Parts: sequence; structure tokens; C-alpha cells
Amino acid sequence: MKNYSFNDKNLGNIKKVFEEKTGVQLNTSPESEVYMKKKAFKTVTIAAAIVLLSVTSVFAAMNFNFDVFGEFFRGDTSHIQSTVQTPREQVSDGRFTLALEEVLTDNRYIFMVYSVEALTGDALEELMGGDELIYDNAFRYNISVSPSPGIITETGVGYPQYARELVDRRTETARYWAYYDEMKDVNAEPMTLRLETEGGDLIITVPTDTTIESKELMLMGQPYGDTYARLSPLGITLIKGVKSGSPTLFADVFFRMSDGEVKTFNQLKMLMSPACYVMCAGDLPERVSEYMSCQFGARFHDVIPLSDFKSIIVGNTEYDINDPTKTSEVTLDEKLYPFDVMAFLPERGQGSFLPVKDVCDGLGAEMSWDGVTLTISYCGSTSEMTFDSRTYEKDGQVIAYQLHESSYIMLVHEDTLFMNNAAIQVILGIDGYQDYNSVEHIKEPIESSSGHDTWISRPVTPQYVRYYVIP
Amino acid sequence: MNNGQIIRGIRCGNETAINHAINRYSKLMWHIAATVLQNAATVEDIEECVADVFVYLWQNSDKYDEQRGSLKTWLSTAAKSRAINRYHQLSKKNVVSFDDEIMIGDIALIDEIVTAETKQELIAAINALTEPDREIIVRRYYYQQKLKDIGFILDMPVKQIENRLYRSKLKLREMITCQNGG
Repeated sequence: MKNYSFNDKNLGNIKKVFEEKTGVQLNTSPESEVYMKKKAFKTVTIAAAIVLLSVTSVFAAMNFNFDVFGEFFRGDTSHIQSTVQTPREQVSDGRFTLALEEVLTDNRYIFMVYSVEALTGDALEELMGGDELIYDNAFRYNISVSPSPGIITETGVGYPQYARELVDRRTETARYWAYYDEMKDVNAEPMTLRLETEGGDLIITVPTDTTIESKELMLMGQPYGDTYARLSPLGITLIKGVKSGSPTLFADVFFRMSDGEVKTFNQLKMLMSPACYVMCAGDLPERVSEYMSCQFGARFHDVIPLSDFKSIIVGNTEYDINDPTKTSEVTLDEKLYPFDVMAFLPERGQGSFLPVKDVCDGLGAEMSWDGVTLTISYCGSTSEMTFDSRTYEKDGQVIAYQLHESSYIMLVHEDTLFMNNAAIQVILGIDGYQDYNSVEHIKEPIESSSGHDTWISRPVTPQYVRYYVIP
Repeated sequence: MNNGQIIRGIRCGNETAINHAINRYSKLMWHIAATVLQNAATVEDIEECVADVFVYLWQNSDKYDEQRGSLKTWLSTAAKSRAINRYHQLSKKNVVSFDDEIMIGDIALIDEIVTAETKQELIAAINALTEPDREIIVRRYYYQQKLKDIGFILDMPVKQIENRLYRSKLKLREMITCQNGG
């Protein structure tokens, strides 16, 4: 009998076949930022833990309950530390114990840490077994968070939207996961955490009450009508009109911080992670038919107190965050706006490479390249990349590129330095899209294992394609 | 991302949306395809079959109608029909070399009527059965699939599969004994 159990290798192959047959590049999110954040966060929370310990012994028992922040946010999170709930609720069936350790929510975004402990030998084998993969094994697919009707980002059984094992916390018999999701209406139906087991499901209701303040703003007077914004220290949701076919969906939204500095959306949101999504709700009324209505959600990279925001800028209109009817016209630095470059596709499977100088010029970043070492300074950070190295240094911290080992990082073509688009996007915190219309494709027949004829559409290589860069 | 967002994202040509769909539903699609293709296909066949479901979703997302059912059901149906097509393609190739000892051995053990000489006749007789009886026999004895799984594949209650198997075996016995002049 053949073994037909499903694993991550199968998932990888399914994606590969999909990519081959459609020519679509599926974005798998680089993990490097998470590791980077974890390091930065530890120093902060150790300090916070010491303070808490000295205050009261009640907090001492909770002094490692900071994984929610450590996993999802960087920087100082102390000002909302007290909003983390630690239900410590657990249910057991004699084989497994499912426990909900921590919950952080602003009534829109929910972050939690849960654990599963094995109580018997065979349960332990099931929990820990088959662990050949770097991050996780298949066991996590037994755990799901309720697809309740009130939740926008319902999580299907099998693949939580964003669940990541906290490998450092793993013990002989237990494993921990950090989970992130977005809710529409927490009051609609209780959110539940569920572990599917042979003897029936273990279920815990997730407490979703919060003390985190959020703001809902209606930003009026845009060509397509109004923009809706919901802002909290954890993230933002926007609903606005977007020109149909525009590759730069939210590139006209900016934030003025209390110190006067203007930040782009990308500078605040967690880049290239499941943290952001775009949903297009369809066309707006006929008079503005060149626009469609899109909802865009993103959680922030740092926890940002609402008092740090002064205004939101949409297009050329600046809206006061405390009174959005107070508006003013504004002209921003052109380096904050999207631009396009000619990316290079060197060979099949290598993705697109961006011309480093053109990208830096467009962003207003300083760069130097001596043939071996590339240095880029942008948004207060300096990154140093060495040709042929699989790591780079950002503000003195060594970070590994989260790219496949066969991927090139940098290449020189026709005397121009190019860099892997995923790498440069993570390093600079920018976003980008390939203009598919500019890509020349070729249809190639492939032989499938079942013997039936089929073809796939592949980008011709080498070729140059248009690429939009969004600061 | 919920299913509404996934489907709207896919209609907008958003790669993140299809990636979400693949992450979320591959395991389920895998189980469906594997049930249909059990022992009849390689792991690669199943992978391709699952990938085809998402290729179909990517290229035909406009055919999905939220009002008529969930995305999960729609994808499940697509997975099943793709797997069944794949099975038929594969079994056409495989059935040619029907003289697999497992197949013959199993039926022979049950009915004690098949000798080495009647092997070819048995194959001919099986191929002469009408569908879905032929498919049930092949799935049960050649691919060693469970009655429950065959029921799922053919949308039939297990009891009906059992009955059909029983009647097919009687029919086969009849056909072979007739051919042998018995």
C-alpha cells in the first residue's frame, strides 16, 4: 500500500505545478523579519520583565507571557503589555491537553498563543512525529480557530491563516503556536480554538474583550467618494476606491506622525506577510466607474500609540486624526510615491531582479557599490550586502536571506547591478509588483505523469519587464 | 482572508489570494484525490491533480457562484471530478495488464472458481461488465480500495456497493462457467 499522507513537501510540489501551469509566482513570505524582531524584542521585554517582577509577584508568574508581542511586533510594546489576556484555560481528553495561553486583541486583530501537550505515548508520537521540516510538522493542521460567521478572515480547518510554532518554547511533551487573524464582529459569535482528535474535538472559547482604544474615521471628499479607516495601535483597515487595473492600490495613503514626519503605508505595515490583504468589493457607482472599492488591512510592524498619529493623508488631502472634517491640501515629496523600473528575469525559476541604482534613485536612498559590497541607507537604516553572501547586515545585525539556496541574491548584467526582488523588498521595507502585461510568455508542452498532454505558460528568459516599486 | 476575499482576490488576479486558497485547501483536496486514486496513482499524480484544481480555480473563478454553495464544496467537487478523470486515464493504461496476481488471487480466493487457465477469461468477463460494476470490481480487487471509499467516489451508499459487488461476482461466475461449458 502506498503512503498517501499529506505533508509540506506535497504542498510545495502542488505550488510548483501550479506555478508551472499558470506562470503565476506565488509569494511565500520570507521569515527573516520574524527572527529579526524576536531579537530586538527580547532586550526590551527582559527589561520590562524586571520592572514587573519588582512591582508585584503576581506578575512574576506571567513574566514569560510576551510571546504574542515577540512573535508579531518589534520595538517597544510595554505601553500595551497590560492588555494581553492570559486565560490559561485548558481542556483535555486524556490524550491531549489544549491550552489557550495568551490573547491580545483590539476587537479587529487577534493574536494568541496556544499549546498542545501530549499525555500518552501515542499522543506524543502524533504531536512530535514526522518532524523533518524546518518550522513545523503536520500536527498543527489538527488545530483550527473557529470559522464563525462574524469573522472576516475565517480560518479553514487545516491551515490557520497565520500559525507559527514557537520552537524555542517546545518541551519534551508540549508545543506552542502563535496565531494571528482578523475579525469582523467579535460579538457575532464566540471565537473558538479547536483541536481535532480521534475521540472528539477539544474546544476553548477565546475571550475577545479588549481595553485597546481604536478610532474609526470617515475621510470625505475623494474622487470616488469617502475612505473609511479603522486605526488601532495594532493595525489599520481601509476601505477606499482604487483605480481599476492600478498596480499601486494604497500608494496614495500616508500618515503624518506627531513629530511631523510623513510615513508611507509600507513603512508602518508588516511587509510581505499574511498580515495584509486586499479585497476588492466590486465596482463603485457608475459615475466613478473607473474605480473599484477595495478593502485593505494591515497590521503594524511596531505597536503605535494612537497619540503618535497626527493625520492621515489620502491623495492630496490631509485629514486630522482627531477631527477628520479638518482637512488641508498637501504636496508631498515625490520620493514617497510609486515609480517603475525595468526588472530583469535572468532564467527560469529565479524570479525578477531589480536594478539597485534605479530603485535607490527612485526612493531617494543613498547607495554605494564597489563591485563586492553594496551599502544602502534608507529610512534611517543602513544595510550592507556582499556579493555571493547568503547573509546581510542591517544596522549591525546579521540577517540571513530567507531565499531558496539555489536563488541568486545579486547579479550583474550588462554592467548593471541587480538584486533579487524579494531580498531587496525585505531589506528596504518596500513593496513591488511585476507588470504582467509587460512580460512575454511562451507556451511549452509538458508531459504529465498521467500521460495526457498539457502545456504551461512560462515567462521567456532572459528578458526585461516593467516593475512597480512602492516606497 | 475569508473565502469571499479569496475569491474576489483571485478574480482581481491577486497571487496572495490564490496562495491562501492553496494553503487552506490543499490538505482537503489531497484527501479527496487520494481517496479516488488510492493505489491507482503515484503521489506525483495526486499532487498534479490537486494543483489542477487550483489552476481551474485561478482560470475559472468567475464560474464559482457564492449563492450556490461554499468555496470548499466547489473545490471539493472539482477535486473529485479531476481525480476521477485521472483515474480513468490511468486505469485505461493499467487495465491492459490486468493479469495482476492480486486481482486474480482475491477474486479466486473468494469464489474458488478461477484457475490459471481461466485468468484471461476472467479479465474479459470483468471488462464485459457494465459500469459502474466494472469500476467497483476493479477498485475493490485490483486497487484494494475500501467499500467506504468506493462509495464516496461513486456517490453510492456502501450497502449498494456491497450488493453490486455480490451481484457482479455471481455474474462473473456465470460468465466464466458458461464459457467453460459448465
